[in-house]
Amino acid sequence: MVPVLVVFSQSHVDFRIPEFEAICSMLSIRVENMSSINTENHMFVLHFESHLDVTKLLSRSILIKFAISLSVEAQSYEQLFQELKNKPEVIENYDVPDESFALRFFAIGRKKKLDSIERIKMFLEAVQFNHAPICLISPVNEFYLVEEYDHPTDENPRKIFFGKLLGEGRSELKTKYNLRERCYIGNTTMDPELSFIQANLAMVQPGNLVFDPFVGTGGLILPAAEFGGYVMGTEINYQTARAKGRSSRQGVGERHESESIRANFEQYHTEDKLLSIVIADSSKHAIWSSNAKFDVIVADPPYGVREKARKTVKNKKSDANEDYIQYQQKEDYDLEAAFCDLLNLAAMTLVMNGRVSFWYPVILEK
Amino acid sequence: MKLFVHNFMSSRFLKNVTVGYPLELVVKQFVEKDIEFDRENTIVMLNKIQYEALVVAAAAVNQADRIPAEQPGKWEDLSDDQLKQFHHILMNIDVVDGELICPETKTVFPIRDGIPNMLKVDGEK
Repeated sequence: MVPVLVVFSQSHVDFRIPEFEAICSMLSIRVENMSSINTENHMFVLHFESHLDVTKLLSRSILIKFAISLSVEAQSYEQLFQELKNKPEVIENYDVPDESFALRFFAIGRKKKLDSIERIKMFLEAVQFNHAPICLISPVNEFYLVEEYDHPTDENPRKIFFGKLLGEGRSELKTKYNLRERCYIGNTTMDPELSFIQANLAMVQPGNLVFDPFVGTGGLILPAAEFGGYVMGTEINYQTARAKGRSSRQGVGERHESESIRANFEQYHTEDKLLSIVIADSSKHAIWSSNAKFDVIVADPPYGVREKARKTVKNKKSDANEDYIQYQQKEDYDLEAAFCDLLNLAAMTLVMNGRVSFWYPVILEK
Repeated sequence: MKLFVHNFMSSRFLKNVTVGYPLELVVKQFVEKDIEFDRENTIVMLNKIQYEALVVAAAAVNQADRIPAEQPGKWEDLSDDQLKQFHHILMNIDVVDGELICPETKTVFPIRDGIPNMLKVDGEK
């Protein structure tokens, strides 16, 4: 097993362990001491079977900032330098003229009054690189000096880590998919970071068929497509599905012609993954034939004031022709019924071991 | 709507419809793309499809000659070239304008801008 220092983002800590476990399970990554991850600390030394496994994990994780192949771990700089002296290969293996390097400093638990340049100078005085040229923009090898503090006011770190960067997580995706620049959004489009975390919890894999029964403007299936899934969704609201009517953006007025769910996929170059949007009532499961099987269902069922849950009902007017069924009339759809329907749909249309992932509104007691 | 989706849809939700499958498909306009072929993914998809409906879909875009009239044996035994024909029907063809029609009641569900409307809104012909 190889020791790896994994540094997590400090946002959405409640999803940290579920996301980590889901990715490891999906990609068959074994971590010896997975149970040591908690939500109070933000970095952990974890034992992986290989660095390749770490790279795979990083290729999906939204909540891991970066991971370092841990070379040395110490309680003080004195001890750190001694350990590096005992293991000269840690530096020597990379101290060659044709491999540039960078050294970066990172501290967790204390930010104030830390002089990173001073730290790097001190380190490079004690541990010398004699051949490798420095390159801060695109180094071949990137080393990290990491300090962990117990309290923000502590003078000295509890631990110091040194190692080579294995890679970064995928937090850049939340920026790439930001709602401000997205072509088409609705009133309740899911936060991009959460939508990617959901795609991980749902274990979307390349080639999977992914379905969203309340697709809206496509916010939950865009991440699935980014991760290689083939996606489709149903939407009961004609205006939403066709991107007609008033924009959800303040002061914009009518939606522009260029806005559409497809345009969102084109914006992120995943339009090949979009199978179709269908205008349909997701409470009518018989719209799916018996061979219709999805690998994953993701959903954010409508609730509350901003997006009312709706389903169609038969026109109750007495003069309605019995043979001619009308679907115009819609009625409010109570929350419990909407979730029961979703689970029934999942039971009917998911493959064996398929996953359904959905948001459920709760009121937390203070 | 990619033709693959047609394979999953039925009109059984309509009153007095017992099978409602496969839906009849009228294609007035479609676009053909060249989406990357992946052997494994194509086999996974083919394992989910109902063959008779796939033939209906291929015929709707006048490309029934790309695939055999009867379902071949195991998908895994097919060559890449054979599988690519299926991939073309399932993934490369996007219906932009057309109709899905219930085989029993003949209820018409329009496809506009690539989006089938199974709610059948009045005023959309």
